[in-house]
Parts: sequence; structure tokens; C-alpha cells
Amino acid sequence: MRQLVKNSLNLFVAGFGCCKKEIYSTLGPTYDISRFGVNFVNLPEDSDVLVIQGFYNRTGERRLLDCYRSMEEPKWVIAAGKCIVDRSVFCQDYVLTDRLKNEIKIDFYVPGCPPRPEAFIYCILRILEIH
Amino acid sequence: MAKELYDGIYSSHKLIFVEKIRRNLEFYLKNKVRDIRLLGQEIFFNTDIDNLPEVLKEIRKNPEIEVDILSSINKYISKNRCILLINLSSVSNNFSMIIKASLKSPADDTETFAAEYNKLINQISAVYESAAFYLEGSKTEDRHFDIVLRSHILDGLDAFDTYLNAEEDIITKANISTRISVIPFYSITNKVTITELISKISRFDYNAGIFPELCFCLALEELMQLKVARRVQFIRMIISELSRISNHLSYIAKMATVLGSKITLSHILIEQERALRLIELVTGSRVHPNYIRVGGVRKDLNDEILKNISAGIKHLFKKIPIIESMLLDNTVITHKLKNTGQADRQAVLGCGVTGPNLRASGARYDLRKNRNLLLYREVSFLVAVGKYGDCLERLYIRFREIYQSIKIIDQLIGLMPDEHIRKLINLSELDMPYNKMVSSIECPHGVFKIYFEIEKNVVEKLVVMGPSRNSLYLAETILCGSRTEDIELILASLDISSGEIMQELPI
Amino acid sequence: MMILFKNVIYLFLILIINIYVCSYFLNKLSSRAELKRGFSVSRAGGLGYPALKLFRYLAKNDKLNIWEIFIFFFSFFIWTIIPFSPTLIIIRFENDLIIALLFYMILLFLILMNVSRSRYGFVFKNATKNILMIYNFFMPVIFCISGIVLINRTLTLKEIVGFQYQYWNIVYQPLGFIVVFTSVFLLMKLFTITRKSTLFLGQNIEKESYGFGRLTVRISYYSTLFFMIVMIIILYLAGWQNLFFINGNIIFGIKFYIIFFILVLLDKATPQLNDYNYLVSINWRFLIPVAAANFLFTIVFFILRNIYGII
Repeated sequence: MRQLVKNSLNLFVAGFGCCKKEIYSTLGPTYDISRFGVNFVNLPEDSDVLVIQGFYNRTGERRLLDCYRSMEEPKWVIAAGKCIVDRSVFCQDYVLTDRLKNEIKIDFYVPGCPPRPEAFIYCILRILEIH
Repeated sequence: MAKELYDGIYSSHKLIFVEKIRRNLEFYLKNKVRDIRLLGQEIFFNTDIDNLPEVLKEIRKNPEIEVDILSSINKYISKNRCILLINLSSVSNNFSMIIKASLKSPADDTETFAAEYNKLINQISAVYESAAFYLEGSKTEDRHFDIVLRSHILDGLDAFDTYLNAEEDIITKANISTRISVIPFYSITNKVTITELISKISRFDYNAGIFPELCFCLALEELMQLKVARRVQFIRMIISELSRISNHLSYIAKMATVLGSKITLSHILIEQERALRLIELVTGSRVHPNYIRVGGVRKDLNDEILKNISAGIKHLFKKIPIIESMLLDNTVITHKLKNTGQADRQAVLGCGVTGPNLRASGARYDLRKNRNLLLYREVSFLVAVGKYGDCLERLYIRFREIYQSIKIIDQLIGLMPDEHIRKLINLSELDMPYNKMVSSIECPHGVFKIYFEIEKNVVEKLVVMGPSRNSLYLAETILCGSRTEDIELILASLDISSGEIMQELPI
Repeated sequence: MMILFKNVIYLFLILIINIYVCSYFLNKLSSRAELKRGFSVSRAGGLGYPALKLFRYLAKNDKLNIWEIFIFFFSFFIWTIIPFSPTLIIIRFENDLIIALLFYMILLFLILMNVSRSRYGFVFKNATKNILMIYNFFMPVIFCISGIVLINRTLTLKEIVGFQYQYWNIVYQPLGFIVVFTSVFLLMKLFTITRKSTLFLGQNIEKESYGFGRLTVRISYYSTLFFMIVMIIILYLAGWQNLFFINGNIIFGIKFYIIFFILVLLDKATPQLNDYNYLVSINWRFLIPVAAANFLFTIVFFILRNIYGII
């Protein structure tokens, strides 16, 4: 089942922040992520991969969890950017992965502030296992 | 003769004019204000909370001062006092001022504090109607809504929720809640060193990352009275115009996505990447440049980079007219854009919107021309001004601005002076007395303004007043009366940058 | 019985192969037009891409609702009346033009009913609006088809094709052809076969998910499009008539793909059309006046020729 889904992955990018800009710039012909069958959707119900990035507060965390729960199996989670992988740039005391480590299992981490589009594409290739 | 006339448009007489206004203010409000002075090119004064409504009434009504815009009201907590910063500006007289007033601490009793705050805001909104936007407490909880757009539904417009009431197709009431973008960032606004702040401040506007840095460094230079070399100013202008181009291109890409014109979208994205490559060539990063330093820039430009930039600019100049004709020569698109989301000059000014959105409705207000900003007086360019203020005009204005930016960069590369630049200051040994400073700059979305208090080399308090908040308030007013199909189009046409909407979560 | 069974199998094969080829060309063309590149067979624009899309649809979410079951059967059932060739027809009616149009309307109705159901229930407002929008385009089409009927004096598709052995109907009815072609193009834009569906599901929501239900809806979109193309060919472009010495069936296929390509290229060149007011204005300012004028002209011609015998 996982192999069948991998033919065309639907990505859902949650939150707002600078990484979103870089992730969406992979849509263009220069990077062209769609040649791996990847497209972006706006509904978590339709998506296979959840990309966590950017800045969150309590409300944002709750929404993120709602999105994660409404996704169907099989599903993957990518954490992109410094704010999620390490600590928030704006606030050193705020670590999202610590807060949500019981609820969400993160499969891939993409470091960088923000990660370059190439780094994000590399992560997608790791999911597809064809790098 | 011509040069004198030309200098008359800018020049230092603006500062003399502002000084005159300061004296007038001092005369009229003698007993009610304290500590009135010029910070950079802006007027700043303290006032008591009881006198505030009277002071505002005087400022609004007096024909010699005539402040017509309330740009923003920011509040922050310092030393158990809640401090209000009221940011006012006058488009007709071309100056701006900041009023500081302090409320009692919210820590004692949050409910009474909120009541007190709301009472004050109600008093202000009797003078300036747009103050009603800053009322605290949720306007959205105990009401029924027909359409609710969660933040993740709209790409690129993801820092707010939209609550709408509609009657058949026509929206009757719109509410925009920014609850999701109130996030903790006290470790960047409280007690940070200057170097750390310069590297992090560009997160507040990640669509055009150079402008917050530039704004902060300009403020510090003004405070220290540093004389910056001409070559440095030229380099700063080049890089800021490049990021203006890239921001406008990403705006056009967003509009093309909303309009569903996929072929145009891919052409725009190629050009946007080209502009970003040029920025990356100069600064080393696509989004957060961390390039401007106090008194200079991080790295000099060599001839090869300049040659690359001029080649890239030539290519952009060739390609962007093609994109423009692909979008605006299409009757289906123009039919859709025309007369949607229309806002007249008065409504736009009432919301305090600046930048291209204001210019699209017919007000010629651009800090590059109106202030002594960098060395923009040495290059010739036009300020693009629209007339009707609808979505088509806003899109058209962006194309004009891109052409003007290309023209500016082309001139700058030709005029680039050859100078030896030496290091002016060492920030780690800086020993500055307690001071406060305001600075503003024309970023692609409008007038970006920061206020900070500094002691030694540590920034005690930083307040960012981005222009995108005002665009949100404008969206609230112009969404009423438009059709439900145009929601995303109208929101996208206002060029709202998510980073500027962020507010600090109180500790 | 065996002949019937053979015919059903043939029809099925033709449909499946057509859907595969058309979706392949759609992907290829759209990825070329949007300056994107596929680097291997299975990627966007590759040969195996439609098959992989199919597997993807089957991979998740096996729920089916009642409308989707109806749509699945009906989108194949509609082809039992429309002849691809003079022999390949399963159910024979006297006046099959009317029956075909009726079936088509029912299929559209089913699609709209299914599409108006959101995750949270049936959205009545969406349904009425879409029904108005889609059935608006029937008025000019019916005007044009009645013009054809007046000329050929028959309601049977086979006889209409037979009538065109010397001159195609497009020679008699050029305006009618333009009107029908335009309305088919607009219908195609509304069904958004080349893009993610935005008309029915709201501006911002892309419901391009998986599940057998979605697959049936997708097939029904292709089915409606093919139906309209076949109707254009039969009514205006002489269906399966031989051209010089070439076999009629081959000619039919060539015409089919030429019209399909023109439609897709037009679709790529224009932006999204989901503005209700704009579509209605196209309809009332261009399509209906032209169609009505064409119809009146045909009636005058018909009366002069058949009743008074002047021409």
C-alpha cells in the first residue's frame, strides 16, 4: 500500500513561516518537484505527507494535531526548518518537538533556516528512496 | 535652476518643516505632553493617559498639523507598566509621529485591564475610526458565521482566519482574526545584542528580508551620527531594489495561482528565481540576507557581480513585459479583476494603508521620494500611481514598480563610485547611553517602521510596526459587498506578508 | 447473444484505451505547457503515469456513496446508444438523438448531485448554482441541434450521418458548429479535467484525493467530454463516412483526436473560468443570440424550400 501511494505524494504544509516560502518555490520549473509526482494540497484529509514548519502557539499546535489525526494511513511527517528541528528562532524556551513528542512521530528532519529547496527535494527523494 | 528645483522636492527643508511642526505642537499642547523631540525624521512625545483623547483631538482638528492617518497602536509591557505606542502619520503634510502613553500593569487583574484598555480605544476611535480594529477580546466567538476560512486553506495568506457572513452571494460582514499569529518571541524583542538582532530581524518580513535589517541599521546610524560612504549606500539601494523586484514577482505569482493561469505562473516563477539568484549572489542567502551592517555592508561588490547583476536586469526587462501581456491582455482575467475589491482613497487612508496599495488608489506617497532615504535623490525614477484602487490597478502598479526598480538599478550600476571603505565602529565595545529611536523605510508592502530602546550595545525593547496589518483591516472593509468567489482574489491582491502580522504573546 | 457480448467488449476496450491515451496526452501537454519535465516513464507526463494514477486512486479510502455507483454504471451505459461506428451499437431506438441527449442530461445531473455533497453534508446552494451554470449551456446547443434536425429531417443519428455523404453539415451550419464547439469548450473548462476541480468544491479546496469513488467521477468527466466530441463529429463532421478511399472508422478516430487536441490547447491557453457572471454573460451575449439567429435562418430556409418549394 505504501508503495502505491508513493507514486504521487500529496503534501500538506502546515503553519506559516519562512520555510513555507522556500518549500513552495520548489513548484517552479527551476526545481520542479512535480516530476517526482509530488503535488501540494490544502486539505489534510487528502494528504500523505505532513510538513511541519514555522511558528506556532497553543492554537496552532491544536490545529496541527487535528490535521495530523485527520490524515489517513499511510502517512509521513517532515519537520523542516530550524524552529522545529531545534528551538524557535524567536524564543529559546519554546521547543515544539518536545511538546508534541507523544502525539506526532516525525520521520524526516530537514535542517536549515530556512532549508534550501534542494534540501527539501532531497528529503522527498529519501521518502521515495530513489536518491 | 533645475537642480535647485529638484532639490526642493527632497532636501533638508523637510527636516526644517518637521522641526517647525514640533514647535507648533509644543506650543499648542504645552501642559499635556512631556519630552517632545525629534527622533530621526519623526516626532516623538510622551503623554498621560487622561490627556490622550484631548491631545488626539487637537492633532486631528488643528489645520496647522492635520494628522489624518492612524497607522497602528502597539502595546508592550515594561517595568510593570503596559505602554501604548500610537503611530500617526500625515500624508498631506508628509510627516509622522509617535505618541507614548502608559497604562497600569495587566499583571494585577487582566479583566479590569482589558476593560480599561477597551475604554481607552473607544475614546480614541471617536477621533480616529480605524482605532476600533485594535479592540481587545474576541469579536468572533459568540456569533454565527456562514463561511469560515481556516488559515491553512489559503496558500501564502496563512497567518489569519477569515470569518464571513454572507447573504446569497454577497458578503455582508467580514471579520479577520489573527489569533493564530500571536506567538511567543520575547527572546528577540527583549534584551538582545545588536549583532544578534541584525541576523534575526529579517524574520519579521520574510518576503523581502533586507528591509527590516536596513531599517534597524539606518536607525542606529542616525542615532550615532555616522556618515556612511556613498558606495555603501549604492550597494544598499541595489540590493533593496532587487528584493523589491523579487517580492513583487512572488506577489504576481500568487495572483496568477488564484486566477488559475498555470502557464503564466511557471514563467513568473522562473523570473522570480532569477531575481533571487541575484540576491543570493550578493548576500549569500535567498530569504534572510543578514547583509547590512551598522555603517556598512558585510561584503563589497566586485566587478564580476555587478556585471552579473546588469545582465540579469537586462534579462528581466526583456521577460517581464511578456508576462504582463500574458496576464493583462487576457479579457477573461481583466474582466475578473476589474471593479473587484474597490477601495477609494479615503477608505484606504482611513485604514492607514501605505505602499503600493495606497498608491493604487491615487495617493502619491512614497518614502523614497518624500524622505531623505538613502541616496534615492540621486537617481531618477517615477512613483507609479493608480486611480481606481481595484484589483487590476493593484496588479498593474506592481508591474510599473518593477520597471522603475530595474531603471534604478541600471542607473546605480552606472554611477557606482569607486571608494575605499574602512570599518567605522566596533559594536562589541559600544557604550551608548539609554536612548530610543524610531526609523521607517519603504518596503514593498508599505512603510515598515521600528521603534527600539537601546542601552550600551543591548536593545532593551523592540517594537515592529509592519504595514501588512493595515492591509488586513482594509480587507475587512472591502470584503463587505463583494462576492464570495472573489474572497481569495481580494486577499491575495493586498500583498499581505505573514511575518509582519505576527504579534508578541505576553509572558 | 454472442454478437451483443462481442460488441460490449469492443465498446469497453475502445473506451478504456481512449481514456488512457487521452489522459496520457493531457498530462504530457500540461506538463510541457507549464515548462515541467518528467525524467522517467512513470513520472508526470510519462507513458505509465495514468496507470500509476489509477493504482493511486485504488490505494486509499475504499468508501463509495450511492451517487458514485450510479455514475459509474451510467458513464458506461451512455455508450450503448451512441454509435462509434454503424455496427457498434447495442440498444437501437427509433429517435436515438433525443434519447442520447436525455441520457447525457441525466449523467450531468448525477455528477452535480455527487459533487454538491461535501464532507459535512449536501450543499444545496452549490447544487442549484451548478445546475443553473451547466444547463445554461443547453439552450444554444438545443437550438443548433434542432437546426440540424430541420435540415436532415430525421431524429436518428445513423440517418444524420448517412445524409452527409456528399456535403458535411458544417457547410450548411457553420454558425451552429461554432456555437456547439464553444459550449463544449466551456463545459470542459467547468469540469476541469486538466486541472484540479475548483468550480464545484470552492475556490481554495483541492479535493484531488483517492478512492474508487473519485476514480468513477474522473471517468465520468472523460465520458461526458467524449460524448460531446462524438456528438459534434456525428452532427457536423459526417461521423464515419468514408473520406475518398480511407475507411470511415479510421477517419472517425482522427477527427476525434483532432478535436480533443484543439480543446486541450484552448484550455491551456485560457485561465480558470469559475466566474458565474462571466459565463452567463458569454452565454447570453454571444451563444444564445448566434444560435437563435442560426435557427431562425434555418427555419426560413426550411419553409421556403419544403413548403413553398422556392429554392
